[in-house]
Amino acid sequence: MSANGTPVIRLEGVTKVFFTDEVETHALAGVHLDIRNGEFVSIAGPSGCGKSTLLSILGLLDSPSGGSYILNGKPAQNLNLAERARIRNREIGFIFQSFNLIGDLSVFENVELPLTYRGMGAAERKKRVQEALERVGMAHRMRHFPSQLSGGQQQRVAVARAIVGQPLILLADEPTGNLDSVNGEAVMSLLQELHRNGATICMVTHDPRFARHADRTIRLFDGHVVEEEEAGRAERDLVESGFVAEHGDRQRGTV
Amino acid sequence: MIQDLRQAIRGLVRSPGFASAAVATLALGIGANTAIFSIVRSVLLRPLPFADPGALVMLRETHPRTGPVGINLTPANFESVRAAARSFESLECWDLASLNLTGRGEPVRLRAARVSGGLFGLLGVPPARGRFFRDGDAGVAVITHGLWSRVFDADPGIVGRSITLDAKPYTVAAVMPRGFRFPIQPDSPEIWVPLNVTALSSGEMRDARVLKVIGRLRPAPGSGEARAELAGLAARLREARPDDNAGLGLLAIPLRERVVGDARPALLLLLGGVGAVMLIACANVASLLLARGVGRRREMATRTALGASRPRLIRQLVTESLALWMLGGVFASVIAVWGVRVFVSIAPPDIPRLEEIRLGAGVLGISLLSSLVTGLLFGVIPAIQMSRSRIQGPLQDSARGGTSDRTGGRLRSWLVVSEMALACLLVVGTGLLTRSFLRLRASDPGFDAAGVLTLEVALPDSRYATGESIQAFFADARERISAIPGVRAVGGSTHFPYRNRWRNPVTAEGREPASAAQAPLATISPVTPGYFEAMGIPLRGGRLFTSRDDAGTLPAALLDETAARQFFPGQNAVGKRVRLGSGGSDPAWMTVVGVVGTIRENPEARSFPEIYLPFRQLAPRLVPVLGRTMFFAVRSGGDPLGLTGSIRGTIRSIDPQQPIAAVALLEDLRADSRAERRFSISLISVFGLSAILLAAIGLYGLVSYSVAQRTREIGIRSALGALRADIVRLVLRQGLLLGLAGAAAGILASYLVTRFLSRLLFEISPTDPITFAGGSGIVLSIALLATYLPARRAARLDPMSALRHE
Repeated sequence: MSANGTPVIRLEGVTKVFFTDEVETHALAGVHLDIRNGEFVSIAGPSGCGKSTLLSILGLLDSPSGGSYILNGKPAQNLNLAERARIRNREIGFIFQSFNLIGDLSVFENVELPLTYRGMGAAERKKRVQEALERVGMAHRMRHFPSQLSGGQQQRVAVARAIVGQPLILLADEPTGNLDSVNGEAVMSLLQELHRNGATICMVTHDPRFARHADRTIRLFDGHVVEEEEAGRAERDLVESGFVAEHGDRQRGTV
Repeated sequence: MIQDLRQAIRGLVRSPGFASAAVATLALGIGANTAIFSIVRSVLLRPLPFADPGALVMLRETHPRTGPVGINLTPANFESVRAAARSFESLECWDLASLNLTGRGEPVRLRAARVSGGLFGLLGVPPARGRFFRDGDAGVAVITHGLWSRVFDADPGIVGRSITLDAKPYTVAAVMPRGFRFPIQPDSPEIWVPLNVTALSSGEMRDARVLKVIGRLRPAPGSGEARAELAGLAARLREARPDDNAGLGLLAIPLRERVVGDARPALLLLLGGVGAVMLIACANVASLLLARGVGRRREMATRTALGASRPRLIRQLVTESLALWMLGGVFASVIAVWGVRVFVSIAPPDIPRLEEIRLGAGVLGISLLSSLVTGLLFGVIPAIQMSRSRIQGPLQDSARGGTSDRTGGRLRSWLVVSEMALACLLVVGTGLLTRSFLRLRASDPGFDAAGVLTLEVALPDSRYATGESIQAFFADARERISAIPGVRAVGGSTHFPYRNRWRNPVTAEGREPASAAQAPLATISPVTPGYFEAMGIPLRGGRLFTSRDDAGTLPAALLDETAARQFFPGQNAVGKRVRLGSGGSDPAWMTVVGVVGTIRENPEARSFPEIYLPFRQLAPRLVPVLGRTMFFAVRSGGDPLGLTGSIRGTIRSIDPQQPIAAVALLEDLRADSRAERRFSISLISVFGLSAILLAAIGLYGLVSYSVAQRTREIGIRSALGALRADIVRLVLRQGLLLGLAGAAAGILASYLVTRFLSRLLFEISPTDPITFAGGSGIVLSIALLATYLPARRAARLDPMSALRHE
């Protein structure tokens, strides 16, 4: 599915400065970014370039030090804690590298959690959870606990939890980072399928093989957007440079 | 092992916060426990300080109307039993008295006992100086070490020296060793003089139940044989004197039971309370160890990877626990020494054997042993739990997604629930005792104690040999005291609340008992005019005594309301007649001239009806026996204690050698009667407070730790849209569930345990629902408070930092 041109997210000159031990670190230095409705954007770059910081700001887990953040047409940089929590709950779905399922809750309860915080009735919650789990192919494991699942299965459950509230945008932070290549591909297929069905996705990845699934790749370096590429271009460049082949081998453990 | 110990100590030094918290908790728990145990041991368990104390018994008479407790023996019965009993090596007796010591400056009233000649031999404690007197000796005295030091300046030539007691010369025959007390009671006698039992049993007092009797059982017969012999002797006494001995039984009570029996429930209660505090303290430390263990999983896994077996790991961990507990035990010993000193200094004198309480080496050994045992018990479980760590998991945890598991979480929860339950039990117990005490304090004693001074005047028989002279002295004294400025009313009684009571069978006209044994017992108080006004006892009907109620007028009596109701139910008692005794040869009928309010000096004890007689109508032959000591009550318009000097001067103006004694406010007498209970409640309250505090610390620690462990989970929940309130609710729910489980278990335990408190409760049920609800409410409130702080901290976690938390 292609983007319809309406920006769901607009960042204008967003900066983020951390102060640690009297050292000032500019994690983001004037980032401009539009993510349109229905678009699949990947954010790439080396470690420490500001990818996760950018995703945290997009997900309202963190606030920018400067610039403006428009989410769904409304300024989002000055919201209070309760408003941020409400938007995270209703308009954003998170998928983390380390799955972040809650060990004491069953698969069903983990997926149900965002709806619980929304105050939704039990019957409606149950229906939605079942639908979400069916979409990711995990409905048969809804009574299991995370520790009883493989890494790939846990990430599918995490995807179900991200989509169960029908958010405006899915934010995925290295969703394949803790998975082997087979499970990584499976999760990416799942995200692609969601994208095809209309989901807006913003994914942080350092893996070019998975970045190729996005409509657009934004490359960060030292807190700046240094490059934006449309679908397919990044992959071609990386194949030419030999990076994909080498990285793919490393994933398979041959290096 | 040495290496384990070295590592254990190094580990404790490296974690000073953990080590000091754990050692302080253990020291308090074990120290308080050791202190109370040493008190219980000194009072209840240690043999009495006499030769072969297990063979010593108190002999008491029982009657159907006195119940199973027993009363003193009559001199006649004592002589008969002593002559016939074969189960006893010896039987001796004594009667408490007071003697005025003069000739050494200010006259001093001494607590004294008249004892039969063989008493000291029976006790088997040799004198420090001199020799004991024997049966038939007269004019000799044995004194305590304290009296010898205090009054005679430890004069080494005291033996054989003459002293003046009640204006008669006595020779000091012996000084007892330091610490010797007999009978063991508050205000034990300071001086013992001979009691002429033979004269007593053939005189006016032969049938008065005045003698306290102690016996030493022969080694051969068992207690069953002694009991059988006493039953046979009682039957013979009933046959010989059916009037006086109707329904009589003889009861031998182990001396230790008699001395410490009353203190046992309160002391065992304290021991239970402090034991619960120690368990809570140990559970807290075990919980701390478990929490510390989770942080050391990686270390354990590394040790295992390097080849340590599980038993080796357990040994290392148990050594660490033991080091902690033994360190706690050392500090506990210091706390115990201090605690015992504080206890002895603040305890009311009613606690028996208070002077004997000390912390022996044995008790300190027990302190260290209990540290070792509890250390093993509470240290092994965390050690087993910690040694279960897998190698792979902890070493690879950071690579795995999701929230961390909670090793030891369930066990810690159990520990905290147990702590809350024990705390709830203590809080409920304390609540019951406190409410009972408040009701007791609020109960109406039947008199108005405010502004009343009481004092005792005991006239020596050497100067006041006849009843007339005694009655004249007290009449004069009353008259003169009433003239002192500031005195509103004054009156006296030979038998006084909180001091001494005289109980006698009585007969009400028209309700004569079928047999002498069925005659009801009443408290008899010969009083002077002005007594009721001074005491504030209200008149309910008729009139009070006046100075015209003397030997020349018809015998009169006043009944309290209880007596009026019991003897003349549904009738007006005024004008009816009562008399002392139950037989035909008993004294004359007395006409009831009035009814007064009932005194309840001990609302918990069985109350007897009370009959007041005019002191001036007491038969002159009985006055030297029953009326030599007068307790005056003086109602003042100002500060009652300010009257003491004037009253002393007034008594001296009648007889310069006559001291006054036992000066006290009536309010203090009443308060002192509840002092032991108040003291026990104060201590148990301290334990209850400590318990709830320790349990709260335990719960706070558990929830704080849990929040730390769940930091990442809290981050995830925040990312998914949880509000701060949702996070607070999440954490509160955990703490409150534990609190609820603890309170429920505590209530159940209280329901099962508090029935054992019923002896100590007044007008309150052991399962009083208000106290139970209040106790569980307090526990839940504390649980809420202990949980709220970590909950608030959790809610303030930055979601980003929380998500990055490993």
